[in-house]
Amino acid sequence: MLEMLGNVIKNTLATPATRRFPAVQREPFPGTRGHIRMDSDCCIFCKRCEIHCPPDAIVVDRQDRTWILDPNRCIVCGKCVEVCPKDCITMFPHHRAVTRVRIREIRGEDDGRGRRLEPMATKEE
Amino acid sequence: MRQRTVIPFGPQHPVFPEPLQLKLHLEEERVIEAIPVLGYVHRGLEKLAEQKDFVQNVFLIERLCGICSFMHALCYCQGIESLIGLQVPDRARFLRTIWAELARLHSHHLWLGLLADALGFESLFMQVFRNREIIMDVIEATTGGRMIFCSCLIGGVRRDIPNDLLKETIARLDQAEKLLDQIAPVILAEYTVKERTANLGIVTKEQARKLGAVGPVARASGIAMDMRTLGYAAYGDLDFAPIVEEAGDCYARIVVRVKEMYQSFDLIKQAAKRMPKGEHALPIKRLLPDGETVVRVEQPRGELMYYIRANGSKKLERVRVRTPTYANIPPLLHMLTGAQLANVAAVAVLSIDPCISCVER
Amino acid sequence: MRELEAIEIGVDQLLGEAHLLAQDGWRLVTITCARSEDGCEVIYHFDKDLKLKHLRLQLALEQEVPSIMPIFFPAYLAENEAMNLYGLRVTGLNIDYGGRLFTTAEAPRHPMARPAGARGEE
Ligand code: SF4
Ligand code: SF4
Repeated sequence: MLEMLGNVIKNTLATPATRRFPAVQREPFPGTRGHIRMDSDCCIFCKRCEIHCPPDAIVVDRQDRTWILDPNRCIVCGKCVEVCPKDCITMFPHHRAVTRVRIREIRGEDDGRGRRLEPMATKEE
Repeated sequence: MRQRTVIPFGPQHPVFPEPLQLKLHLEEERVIEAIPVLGYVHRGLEKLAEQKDFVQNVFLIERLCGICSFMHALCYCQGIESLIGLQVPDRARFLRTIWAELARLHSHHLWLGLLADALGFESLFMQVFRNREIIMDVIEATTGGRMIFCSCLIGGVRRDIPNDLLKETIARLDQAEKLLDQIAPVILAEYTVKERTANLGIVTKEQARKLGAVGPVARASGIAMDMRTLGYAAYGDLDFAPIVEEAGDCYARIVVRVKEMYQSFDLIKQAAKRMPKGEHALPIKRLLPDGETVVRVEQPRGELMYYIRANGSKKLERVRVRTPTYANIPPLLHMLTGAQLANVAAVAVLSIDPCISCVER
Repeated sequence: MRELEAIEIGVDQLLGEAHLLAQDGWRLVTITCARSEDGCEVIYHFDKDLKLKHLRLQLALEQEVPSIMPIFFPAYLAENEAMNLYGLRVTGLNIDYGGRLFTTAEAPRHPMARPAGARGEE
């Protein structure tokens, strides 16, 4: 009986073990595989990431100078981050909401000396 | 003659996390015959594995099952490593062991929670899942994913656990073990649980052998079969013995799994203590698998077997996956025969810890 | 090339060999079916005290193979699977899903019977 009373008091005073979700969100751990982003500034369109990506989520076009990611296919394995020779794909710990939108990175032409003739762009389609 | 009814049990049922249908032939309340209907989650992964190259396959294979994803990757990587003749570094072996045991822990927690829920023991279900959350956090902190670890790689592991993180991990696991100390006596000593599960779905040692039971189902029937004693990864360097119960009923299977949770905590601690220094992965540049092999590891649910055949190119010829639930379906059918309908879901089916996406691949 | 240490047997020897293994206390782990140049190849994996033994069977196309289900009951799942995915012809099965263990009636009949890339078969 006394034992029970102890429990009753403990449970009345204790805060819930759960989080009030939309208001309080848990921060992911630093190494979490959340989503990837490509920084189109340094990409050389070598297609390495496209070849290694297990679910074929990346399509790289050398002619059009585009890099398209289908986040719906991407399993966030991090293989592309490992293989990119220029390290221009980065893994971020936060999850991206489910989407059918594809992310297209376009890098404009440059004049070969690092000066960009067209601006780069990130488009979601 | 008494009338026979056929009840389609599943594919949607509150106690099943996954779609499995059992056609139950009933005579009044007793099950006379049970026939499984499979195929609700058949995805043709074995076929797909022939189309991707063998490195990409690691990621594919890992997604074969949500709960024991690491074990699948581990088994597959060990197979490929034996085919290309690669010896993984010592540190990788120990890290693999730690993650394998973490996977076992969270799988057994999930199962215990589901069982408590199926027994109508809701508060225990919540307690178990709170405990499981600690383990999931540990997994996320060390691998970067909660369910899909993505940390096994051909030639080693993808990321190291630095020593300070390892210490923190052990501290958190100690906390989880203490919480389990509160929960375990409830499930083991509570007479309602015992009344509900003891003497139910008995599989004797002889029958378990004949029906090819594996894992906790076999061990609860007195067969000391544990693939970890093969000594893969770092298990050869750690001290443990398979946990065996003699009764062969549902209660014995609960006892085996609860004891295995404690064993996992112990194995992780042992592995952390003996963790060698050094690198955690070897490059596999220009090595291609050739030949065929059979590898086995112990999953939370039992023996997992891979048959891999390669032909010296990047693509594999055949990957055959035999998962533990596949082997445990015949014992399940045996348990169901003669059971009361009310016991089918809660007790009999859950006591083999079914994983249907594994079975159908 | 690392080969599996498998005992090559013929179809007529299968039941006899299986009987001997069963009497010796071996457990059927599983049955693997794989494509070969002409027809398919069936490997029976057995285990006893953590040791493995394999029986290998070379089958021509459309050749029938007896079920080992009367000897090893758990074989029926693997045999039904091979019937479904590879179109293996197994005779004497007590629990027969009619080659439809996993796939539905609309799906390709034997999805794994042909090499990858050969899409839209049948
Ligand atoms: S691997 Fe890197 S540099 Fe090459 S195409 Fe992909 S993102 Fe661009
Ligand atoms: S994270 Fe993995 S799945 Fe996603 S794009 Fe990169 S390689 Fe492909």
